[in-house]
Amino acid sequence: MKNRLKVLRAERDWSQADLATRLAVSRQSVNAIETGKYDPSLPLAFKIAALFDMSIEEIFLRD
Amino acid sequence: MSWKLEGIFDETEIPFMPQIYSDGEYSDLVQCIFDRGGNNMNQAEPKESLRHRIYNSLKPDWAFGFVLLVGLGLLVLEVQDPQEQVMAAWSATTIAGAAIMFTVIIAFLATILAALDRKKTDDYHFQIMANSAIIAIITAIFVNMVWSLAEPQLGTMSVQILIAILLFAWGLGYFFYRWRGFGQ
Repeated sequence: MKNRLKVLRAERDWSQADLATRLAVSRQSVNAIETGKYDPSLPLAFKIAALFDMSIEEIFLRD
Repeated sequence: MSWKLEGIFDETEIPFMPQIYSDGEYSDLVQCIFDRGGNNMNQAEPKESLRHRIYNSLKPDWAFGFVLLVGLGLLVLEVQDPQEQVMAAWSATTIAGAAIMFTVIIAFLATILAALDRKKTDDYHFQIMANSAIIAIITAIFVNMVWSLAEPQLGTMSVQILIAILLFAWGLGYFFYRWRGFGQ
């Protein structure tokens, strides 16, 4: 699954650590999501969507 | 104050702190957007919660590096210096009954602890731990099968060797998933 997390984070000038703190997850989690090594759970996907004030479909895209 | 989640609630404006997100698993969702004073956290500098700071100090990579080394060490030591077998004092029926009871109790406690672990720890690391645990179990079963075929040459596999293989494979599985990921 592809995602726009890196772009959205860069637009807000947040580091991976900043985003991780906002989502209350580890920096490794953010890195793994951005590199496509890990698809987040539904609660975490909702958290990400809420943080960026977008829908899940606007952030996560099917391959 | 009100807030909007486009695409989730049909773009309907929801009163601040709706019940569906105010408790349970989704309570973090509200907390990640608004602080207790109702200020939008998207605009504020991030603050690390106590839970996050405690978690950051745990370092799962180091913990699983340790598990991997312990498993490898135990395997080498146990093969070189196997433990002596002690004959059971109880009858076979008593031992079987006690083993079943003990297994049920430990499995129940492990289930509760795993549920707690899943709720409190990072989802990414929990998934890696769970997936690498499956790798460890499969590895241990297959190594045991192959070892049984070569029993005349290798001798009977002891429980300690099996546990060492389980720990070693768990550590290997963890780092394999950290390297490759499981999103593909």
